[in-house]
Amino acid sequence: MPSVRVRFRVNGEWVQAQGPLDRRLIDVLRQDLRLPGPLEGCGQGECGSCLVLFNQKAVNACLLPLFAAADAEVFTAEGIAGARAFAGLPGWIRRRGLAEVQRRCGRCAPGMLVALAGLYLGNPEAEAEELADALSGNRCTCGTGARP
Amino acid sequence: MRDRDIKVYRPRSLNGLLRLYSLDPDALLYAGGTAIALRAAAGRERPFRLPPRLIMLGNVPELGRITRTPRHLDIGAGVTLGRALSTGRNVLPAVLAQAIASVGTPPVRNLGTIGGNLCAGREDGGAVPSALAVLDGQVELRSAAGARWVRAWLAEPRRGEVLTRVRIPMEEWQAQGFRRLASGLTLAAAARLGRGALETLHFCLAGSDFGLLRSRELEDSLKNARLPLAPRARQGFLRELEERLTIPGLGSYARATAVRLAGWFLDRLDEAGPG
Ligand SMILES: Cc1cc2nc3c(=O)[nH]c(=O)nc-3n(C[C@H](O)[C@H](O)[C@H](O)COP(=O)(O)OP(=O)(O)OC[C@H]3O[C@@H](n4cnc5c(N)ncnc54)[C@H](O)[C@@H]3O)c2cc1C
Ligand code: FES
Repeated sequence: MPSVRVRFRVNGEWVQAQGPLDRRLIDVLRQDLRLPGPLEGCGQGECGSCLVLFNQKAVNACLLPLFAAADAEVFTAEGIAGARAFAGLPGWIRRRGLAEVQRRCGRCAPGMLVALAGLYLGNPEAEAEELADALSGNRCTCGTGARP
Repeated sequence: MRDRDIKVYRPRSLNGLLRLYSLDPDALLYAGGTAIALRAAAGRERPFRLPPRLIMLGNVPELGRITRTPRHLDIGAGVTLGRALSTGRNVLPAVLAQAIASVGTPPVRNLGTIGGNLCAGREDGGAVPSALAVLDGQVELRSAAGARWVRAWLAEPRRGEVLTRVRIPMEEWQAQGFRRLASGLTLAAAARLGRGALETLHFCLAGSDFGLLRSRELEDSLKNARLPLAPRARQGFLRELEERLTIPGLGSYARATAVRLAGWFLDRLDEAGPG
């Protein structure tokens, strides 16, 4: 018998999810909603593979229990790629010399895209140092990743 | 655990929160949840170990406010570390901004709050508490029965109490310094300089082995010292600090590192001083 039931928006659509009190948002996104963008890496907030935009801020979906998502607006990497609000994001990333983020092995790219989307919304005039800081919560494990 | 045992409260006002908490003081206050998650990970509990009754702080508007008067800056306990950094960029004293920026990663700081940080314990060495210590920051602790102010670095809410805001006096500091090493050893310091001398020094070291160390006596030993510091004054200060760090459990390497950090800040004073 499920214990909490929560409604929130994912990639623009209202969804309802349920589960035990300590069910994590990342599990709901991957298992119930079949969204592969948020990946599980460390599972404890260190690697950034699981980043999602949560009320317009990049956060670790592995640290968020489902109940904390009530009424929230969540975007995953795949949602960002398709949403009108982010239409200018690819050009913004290219102009900052970060296009290579999308050409990585695929392990850290979705998380990095989310981190950059959060910066794009919150501080589009970000300078090099702020770009580097925004990506400092994303670990590239294959080693191909140059950073700003 | 049965469904009807589980309760997630979402109060929408401070009064509502205090009333609820007085009725159910065993409920867990849930702010950003990052320290709670970290604790669960350390205990190898996956995903979290949550008690059946939780009080979410995220919808309480009073906890999300940042206000500034000529005399002080108030930061609501529910303000995330990320928001404190971005909103307060031109207002936060540099030592506090650097301390906040040293916590976790940007996504963690987008969830974690300043109140949660002060209530979460000192396993990491206490970056934010040590910065607040040198700034003489205070926190307000409230319960349904009333409110009290305590020094920010000693914030330990009693049963039924909520940390509601952090208050930082708005003072001018001509030199500020913050360093946090990988070991967690942290130095926070601020100084007022005038007419080529060190008028006031506030100085705090923090480490998981010894908690927070701030000594007025030690700070006063350099009061009104001319800058650059005379070698005797400098060596006397560092020697005295080393003695105070002779604490069981604190190894000689950690002690020497702490003294080196202190020397780093004294060098900064020398550079800032004469001009
Ligand atoms: C990957 C990672 C890295 C981290 N790195 C650091 C670090 O470098 N330095 C550091 O200090 N911390 C670190 N943390 C811990 C944590 O992120 C921060 O301390 C954060 O500020 C905690 O805030 P929170 O809102 O998430 O607290 P929560 O987890 O919500 O709460 C922490 C505790 O405080 C209590 N509490 C929360 N708010 C209040 C309130 N207003 N009144 C009374 N009690 C309250 C809660 O009941 C709980 O016991 C890290 C965490 C992670 C996951
Ligand atoms: S899986 Fe969430 S940060 Fe690593």
